[in-house]
Amino acid sequence: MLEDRILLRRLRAADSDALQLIYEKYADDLLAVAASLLSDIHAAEDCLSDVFVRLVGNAGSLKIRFNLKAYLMCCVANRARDYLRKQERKPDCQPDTFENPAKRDNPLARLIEDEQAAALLDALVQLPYQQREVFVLHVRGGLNFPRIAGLLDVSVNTVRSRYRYSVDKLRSLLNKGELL
Amino acid sequence: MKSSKDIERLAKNIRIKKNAVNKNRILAGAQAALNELKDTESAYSKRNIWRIIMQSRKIKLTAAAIIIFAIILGINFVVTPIDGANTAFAAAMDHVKQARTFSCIRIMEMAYEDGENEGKFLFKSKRMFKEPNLERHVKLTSPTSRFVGEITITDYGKRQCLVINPVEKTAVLSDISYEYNIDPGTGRLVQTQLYTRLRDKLLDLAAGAVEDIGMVTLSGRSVRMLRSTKDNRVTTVWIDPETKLPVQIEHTWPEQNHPPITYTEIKIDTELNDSLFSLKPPEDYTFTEGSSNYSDAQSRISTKMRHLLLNCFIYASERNGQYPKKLSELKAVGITDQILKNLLTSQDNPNGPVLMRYRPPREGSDPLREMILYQIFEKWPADGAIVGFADGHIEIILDKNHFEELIK
Repeated sequence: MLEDRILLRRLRAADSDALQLIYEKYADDLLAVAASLLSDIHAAEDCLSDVFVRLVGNAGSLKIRFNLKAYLMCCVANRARDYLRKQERKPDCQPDTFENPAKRDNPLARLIEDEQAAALLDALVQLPYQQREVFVLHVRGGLNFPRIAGLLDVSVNTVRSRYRYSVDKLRSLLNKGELL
Repeated sequence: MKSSKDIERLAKNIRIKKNAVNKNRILAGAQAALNELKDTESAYSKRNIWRIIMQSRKIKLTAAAIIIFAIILGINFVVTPIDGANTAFAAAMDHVKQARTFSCIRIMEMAYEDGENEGKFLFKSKRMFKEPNLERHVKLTSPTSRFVGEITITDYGKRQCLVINPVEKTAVLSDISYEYNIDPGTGRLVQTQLYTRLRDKLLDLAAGAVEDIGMVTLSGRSVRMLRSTKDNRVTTVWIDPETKLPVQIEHTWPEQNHPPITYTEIKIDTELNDSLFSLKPPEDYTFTEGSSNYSDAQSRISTKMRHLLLNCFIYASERNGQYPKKLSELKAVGITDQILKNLLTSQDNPNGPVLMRYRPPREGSDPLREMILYQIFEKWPADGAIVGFADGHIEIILDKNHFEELIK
């Protein structure tokens, strides 16, 4: 937390090293969340690129109360949703893109270091986006339910329900062994 | 059979292979934006030093507390004493001295930044304590809506602090074992303890001469108003004629551009239930246990450094922004040679080597980035070096190259 404040302060002073350090510190987590939400490595990179541009642009006025990671996670979630909405509006887009943007034969899974985690990623694609979003932000992004509720503008109970449904469905999918 | 825990573990293991990620592509836009920022004059460099020190909420409050403390300790009344008023004033302050519980609402205008806006805001906070160890602060107003109603409860006996945020429904319990203050009279470290200085500061006023303004109406009740003046600061005390207790105290600086500070709804020795100071988080709140940002050694040296920085700041604020050339010049603000020695050396080894070095800020430098105090070390410390900047903030520098750039 202290280090984040320091990094942010340095970023405000246009310190390139601070940008690199923030990237090194959080890129793994942010990219994993973005990729899990978008099921597309290039879209995830674009998403992160936007988030870091925004971070630099807002650095002068930004004040992180709790932690920088949570702030960046929220930015990733917002950008991912924006991206999917734009995809949905494209005329050649399939109707279920927003709910299920990736193909079942998910090329992203090949970029995942852990085989079982890759299988989980495949399973995640089969969840409705709202459930996937809550699951990923909570477990991989480290955001607590109240923060996710604030981000999504829904009640904490709704977030809890979505999380419970997502875990049930993932368990069911993975236990079938279809994806392992 | 996969359990929920297995699934969560798997999700935590989702990692994209490094060689598949194009870091340059991700950071290209941000780097370009950063370069633009470099070409823009830093807004910070345009601010006066008071505003700069207000950047950090924590530093701001510490600075404000110490500076206000220094201002009030500097009382040297010149008004001829008026016996009756003086007695009433002293009696009122004596009640404050005897307080075992104390509560009031503090109202003061401060500069702030909340991430989107900056400006001045009338901060109201309810502050209460119960001796010997319990303290509770509630933010009644905040320019940032999510902090309204935030409660901070500190138990100095248990060395724990609970921050409850009713907007975000979070409760964070922190260990404050490594939090220190400086004893201003000796320069020695002491563990943070119950903050009773408000009461003690008011006590000092009792020694001064006062002017009896007479009976006035305050919030619909008839009270006696007393006033004391020193230099440009006017202190007004409203006293309940029946209990002889102060109900409101206000400091103003009519000749200076300094906002007034008011303590109102003062209650002394009223019953404050222990439940107000409970460290148990409310049910249905997300509870986390925080850890200290500093090691004990880092906390000790940073506390000393912060004290020196703030005294440098006070010195400069009284001399048109001119910092001392040497730390020994801080005698002018009450840092005697012995205090300075205690501040510069280890508490365990007061005759040992000094722990930090000072250099005055260079002419025209940006206070935000101008290092004026830094930790001395033989070998680069694994957990980073502590340095202090001219704007009053402290950083732990983890990168040796960055430290060497700062020291150039």
